[in-house]
Amino acid sequence: MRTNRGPNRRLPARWSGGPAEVSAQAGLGSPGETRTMIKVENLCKSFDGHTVLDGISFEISKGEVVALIGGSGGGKSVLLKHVAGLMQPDSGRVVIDGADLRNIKREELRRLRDRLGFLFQGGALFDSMTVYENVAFPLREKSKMKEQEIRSRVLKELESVGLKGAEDKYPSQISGGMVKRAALARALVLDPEIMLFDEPTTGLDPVIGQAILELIDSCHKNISFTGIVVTHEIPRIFRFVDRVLMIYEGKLRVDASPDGLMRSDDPVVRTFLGE
Amino acid sequence: MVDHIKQISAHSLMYRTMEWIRQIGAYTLESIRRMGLMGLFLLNGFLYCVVPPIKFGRIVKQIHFIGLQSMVVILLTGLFAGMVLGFQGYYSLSRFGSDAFLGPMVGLALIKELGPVLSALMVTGRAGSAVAAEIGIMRISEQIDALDLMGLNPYRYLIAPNILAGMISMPLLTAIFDVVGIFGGYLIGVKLLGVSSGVYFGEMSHYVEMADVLEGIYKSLSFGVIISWVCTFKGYYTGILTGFGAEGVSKATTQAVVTSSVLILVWDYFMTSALF
Repeated sequence: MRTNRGPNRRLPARWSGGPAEVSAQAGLGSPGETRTMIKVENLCKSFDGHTVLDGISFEISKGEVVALIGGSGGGKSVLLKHVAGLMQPDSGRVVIDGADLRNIKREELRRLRDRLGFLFQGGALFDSMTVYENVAFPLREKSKMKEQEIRSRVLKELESVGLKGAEDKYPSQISGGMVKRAALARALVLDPEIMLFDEPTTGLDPVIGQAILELIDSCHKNISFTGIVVTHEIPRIFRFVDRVLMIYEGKLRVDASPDGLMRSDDPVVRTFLGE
Repeated sequence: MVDHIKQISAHSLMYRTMEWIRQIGAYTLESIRRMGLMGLFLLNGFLYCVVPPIKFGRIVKQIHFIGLQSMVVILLTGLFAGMVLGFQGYYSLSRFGSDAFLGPMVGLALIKELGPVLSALMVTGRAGSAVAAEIGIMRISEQIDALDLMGLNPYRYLIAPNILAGMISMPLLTAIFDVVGIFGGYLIGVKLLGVSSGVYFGEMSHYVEMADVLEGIYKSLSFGVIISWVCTFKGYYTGILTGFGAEGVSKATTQAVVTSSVLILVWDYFMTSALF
C-alpha cells in the first residue's frame, strides 16, 4: 500500500521484498539483519485496578514507522509514554536501542532522550514563549550553536512546516494546526533518531490533518527516524506507515502490514475499518 | 434465633470497626508517603540550586515576578499595618503613661513578627498562588513532560529558580515592609497623636537590637523557602495529587495557598520559640 518511499527508506523484511532488499536499502550488514530500535516485552500497566495494558509485546526496527491504533482510552498514549520513559510499567520492559528503561541510569536516560522526539497530542508548546523561542529552546539548551546559527536553523525549520511569518506569535495566538506544526518543528529540530507522535491529527480538519501526515512523511524521508504514530486516522494513515499495531482490550490484537490489516477477516479489525 | 441475630450484629460491628481502623491506617500511610514526597521534592529543589548549570535568567525572571511585582501589595499592607500598630500601641501604652515607648513597640513588633509573617502571607496570596497555577497548567498541558523528554530537568528549570527567588526576595520584601510599617507608625504616633519624633526613633534605636533584625531575616528567609517549596510542589503534582483539568489546577492553587499560610504560622511559632 505504501509506495511513496524515498531511495534511503529502510523497510523491514516482512513486507518489503525480503532480507536482501532490506540490507541493501538500510546498509545494515549481512542479509537478514535488522537493528531493533524499540522493543516492548510483556508490558502490563493498571490504574486503580483497571488493566490498561495486558502483556503487550512488539519490536520496531530502525527506520521503521508504525501506526498504533485502537479504541479511545485503550492505552495507546499510555504505551507511547512507556516507550518515552515517562511512565513505569507494573511489569514487563521497554528496551530502546539495547537500553532497558527499567535499569537505565539518569544520565543514560538523558542521553537517550537527546535522540528522541515526541509530538504531544496538544502540542505542549511552552505558552510563555513565542513560536520561534519554542523551536529555538532545544537548540539553545542542548547544542553549542551560536545564536546566529540557531536563528537560521529555526527559521528554516519553521519554513519547512509552513510557519514562516508566525515566529513572533505565542501559542495562544495561533490555530490548533499551527500549534501542531510548531510542535513538530520543535520535536524535529534536533534530528531525532526516534519520533513518537501522539495523535498528530486529532482535532484538525481533514485538509490540515493530511498536510500534517505528509509533513511527517517528508521529515521521515529526510532524517529517516524510527517512529510510532498513535492515531485514529484509519485508513488514511496506512499510506504513511510500514506496519500497523492494534491494541484491543489491553492486548495487542494485530501486528500486520497495512495491506495485511486491510485483508484481515477479524471482526474487530473490520469494525475498526468501518465495515 | 435471637442468639443468631446477636452473633451477626457482633460480626457486623467487628467488620465495621476493622474497616474503620483500615481506613485510618491507609490515610496515615498516604499522609506519610506525601510528606516523604514533599521532603524529597525539597531536597531535589535545593540540589539543583547549587548543581551547575544554574539558570540565572530564570532566577532573575522569578525574582522580578515574586519580588518586584509584589512591591505594591507589600507597601500598602506594610503602611497600614504600621498605622494600626501606631494607634493600638499608643492606646495601650498611654494607659500606663508609657507612650514614649511607641517607637520600640512598633519597631519590635514589625521587625520580629509582623513584617516577616504578613509579608510572607501577602506573597503567598499574590505570587505563590500564581506559581502553583502556572506550574499546574504546565503539568496538565504536558509542558513539563516535554521538558523531561528534551532531557532537560524540570527541577533545574522550574523548581530551583523559584526556591532561590523566594529566598532572595522574601528578606528584601520584609525589610521594605518593616521600613514602611515604621513610617506608618511614625505618621500616626508622631504626626497625628503628638509623640515626639526624637523619642519615637531614639527609643526605637535604643531598644531594637541587631539580634531582633536577624530574627526577622531568618524568619523571612525560611518563609521564602516554604512559599516556593509548597507552591511549586502543589503545581508540579497537579493531576497526580489533585486531579486533572481546570478543577485540578484550582485545587492545587487553593491547597498551595492554604498549606503555605498554615505552615508559615506553624513554622513562625517554632522559630519564635527557638530564637526567644
